[in-house]
Amino acid sequence: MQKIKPLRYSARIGEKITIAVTPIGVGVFVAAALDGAVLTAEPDSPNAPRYEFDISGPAGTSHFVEMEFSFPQAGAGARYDVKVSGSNGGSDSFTVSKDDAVKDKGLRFKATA
Amino acid sequence: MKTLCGILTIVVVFFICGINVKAQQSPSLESLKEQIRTLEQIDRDPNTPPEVKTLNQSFLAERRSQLRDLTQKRIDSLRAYLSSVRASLSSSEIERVQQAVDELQTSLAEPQLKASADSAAAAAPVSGPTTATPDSNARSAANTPRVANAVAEVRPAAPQTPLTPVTDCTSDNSYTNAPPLLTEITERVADDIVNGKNAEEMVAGSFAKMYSYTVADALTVNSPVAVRTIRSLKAYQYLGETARIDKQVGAGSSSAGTTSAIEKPGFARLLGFAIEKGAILKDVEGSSLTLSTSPYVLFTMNGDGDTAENYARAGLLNRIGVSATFNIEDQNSVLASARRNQLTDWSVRARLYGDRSTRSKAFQKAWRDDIQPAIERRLAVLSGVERFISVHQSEFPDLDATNDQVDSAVASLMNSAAYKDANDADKKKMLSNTILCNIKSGVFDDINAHPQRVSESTRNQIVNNFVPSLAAALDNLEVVRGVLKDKLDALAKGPLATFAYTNHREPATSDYSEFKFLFEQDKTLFGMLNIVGNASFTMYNKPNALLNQSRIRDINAALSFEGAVDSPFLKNQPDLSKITYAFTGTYQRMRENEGLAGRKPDLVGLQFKLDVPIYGGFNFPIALTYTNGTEHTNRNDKRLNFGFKFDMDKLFALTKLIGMP
Repeated sequence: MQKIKPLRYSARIGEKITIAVTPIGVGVFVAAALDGAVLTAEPDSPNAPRYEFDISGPAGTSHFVEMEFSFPQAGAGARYDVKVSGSNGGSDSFTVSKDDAVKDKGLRFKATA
Repeated sequence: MKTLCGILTIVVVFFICGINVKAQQSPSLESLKEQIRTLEQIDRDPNTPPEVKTLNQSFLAERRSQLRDLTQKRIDSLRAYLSSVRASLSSSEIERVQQAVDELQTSLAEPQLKASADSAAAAAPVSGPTTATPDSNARSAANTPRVANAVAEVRPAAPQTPLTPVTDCTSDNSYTNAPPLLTEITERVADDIVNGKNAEEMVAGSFAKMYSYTVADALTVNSPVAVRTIRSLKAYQYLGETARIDKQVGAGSSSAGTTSAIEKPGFARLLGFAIEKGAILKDVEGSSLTLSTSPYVLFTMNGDGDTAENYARAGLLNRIGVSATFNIEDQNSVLASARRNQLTDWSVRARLYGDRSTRSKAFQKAWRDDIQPAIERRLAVLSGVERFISVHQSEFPDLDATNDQVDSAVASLMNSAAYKDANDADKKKMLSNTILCNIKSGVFDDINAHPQRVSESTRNQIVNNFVPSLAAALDNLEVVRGVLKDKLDALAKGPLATFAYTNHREPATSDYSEFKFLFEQDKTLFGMLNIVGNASFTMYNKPNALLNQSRIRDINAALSFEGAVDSPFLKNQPDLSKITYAFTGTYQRMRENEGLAGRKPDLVGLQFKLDVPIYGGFNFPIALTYTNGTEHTNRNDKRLNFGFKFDMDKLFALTKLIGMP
């Protein structure tokens, strides 16, 4: 996986992408979808949700992950730390805080041959 | 003859190109205009061979881009000049400068600077930036053959270079009738950028949504048949966040200076402090400072912090709270009063039953089962249409190129003197305008300029599938918003039982210990009011027989009926705390007062208390109290107490609110 720009990546077809979310000062209130279908966190990650999917292409197209981070009654300083990584290497991270105006993030992964 | 013509034309083109090399060293508006005029003549000449025309068109596009950039730089320079020396200029001089700016602005709209979409599209892909205007953008995508819907047949558009940002997008919003969904997310992005977030990250994180909204707008607004337009959909608001009202942030009911006649079983898990003035069932005036925390805070200092993982592992530590209350002498430096000799009491509380935190397992399960699916539905609709557009990208303006165009425009804006000198509100407006303006020209205008590029099946998919699906998802979210509100209300009103131990320090008499059971249950009376009950007894650590003291100091009971209404002071604010009111009755049996002249062993108190949230984190509690006596006198007393409370849990929100205009 290569970072093209923040939240924009390229990844090879067949590569596994992992998105790991760490909630801090807040419960697990994360929702995600990939290309029109709900993206479910891995069952072994109830308190730090981890989402995984494979880049399937076709080459030149992009996969779209939409995520929303909620903060119901969370205290000051609550945030989610998010790490994005690819099975062929490369990683990136970003944070969504309670005080942010935008609490839903779109990530896109351009498939390469 | 035709061959000779071609050779001569090539010589002319390269002669002009040679001039341009010189012009690039010292470009002038006039020389660029002259070159463009010459190149346009060659372009229009029917005798120009096709290969020369193609080459000529690429040079023409490059000149136009240079001329546009240079004109914009002149405008920026003149504006910066006017801004810095305006006070030193006469009105006529200001007018002259303004006139020069206006002329340059007008020249930006001249046909000479307007790239012809058709001629540019016919040109071979150029290595330099193409010209872009709000009306027409030359895109190689226009030449890419349209493909069927199947993913396997996808033919990605040819690689595109970033488009030149549209100029003069900051002063006005050219996309005045943009869908509310689009303007709302754009304003949020602008808000985060102004607050210091990385601009590219903020734009990228929302760009696919913005793009999809704009595509849907372009396709629905001019639909030949009546369809639900995306403009009819309301802006999306994240599911609400409300404040807790069950926490005992102020001093306990028996501390000096408290306005509470009854204690609540909740407690601040992180640091909180409150300052209150006044007294109830005490005949001293005083002020108190309460500091409270939890051992859980210590548990989180293992390097990971207050993560959901740590919270789940902490177990019992989340059920314990500790606090200390101090007398305050210096109102200007309240924390300096938090010294041992100012300590009036300290307490430990343990939650026995119930959990009112949204981090509780029960609430998280309710969220997963009832709330999250509605959020996921909207996200699935959005990511679905984004993917759909991606596999049909030859029918639409290039997503990445348009994103880059917006990035470039935002970066250019943020480097401008006008932006740097603007206040935060103006910066947000400038950023919003820039994003909307560029996305309009790059997507909305482009689609409308090439209506034939979007196939009927693709159009149908977006107009008749995406927009209705999004509308349904948003409608469903509104329903779920009500469900969430009910769940939060239920969470705040669930039964809660706490045991509290308090050590009271009484320099004038004797220190004593208080053992208290606190219970709260909502809607037990007439299904309307919240009921809070306390029952406690206190014991002297070292009873003094000379003061008629025995081991048991007193037995105490309190009952409170509470209600809440929305606060008019917090409209349009993220803090959704409510005005709470409470009728409280207390009874205290003071054994040591038995048989003592001037004292009563049975003390009764009645209180009406109003707690009004004024501004994020600040509350104004006011209480009217009647007592038939106090611990030290048998005189009736009527008293009005007031104060203010400050919740540290809302500190950052408060700081942000103070910073808002």
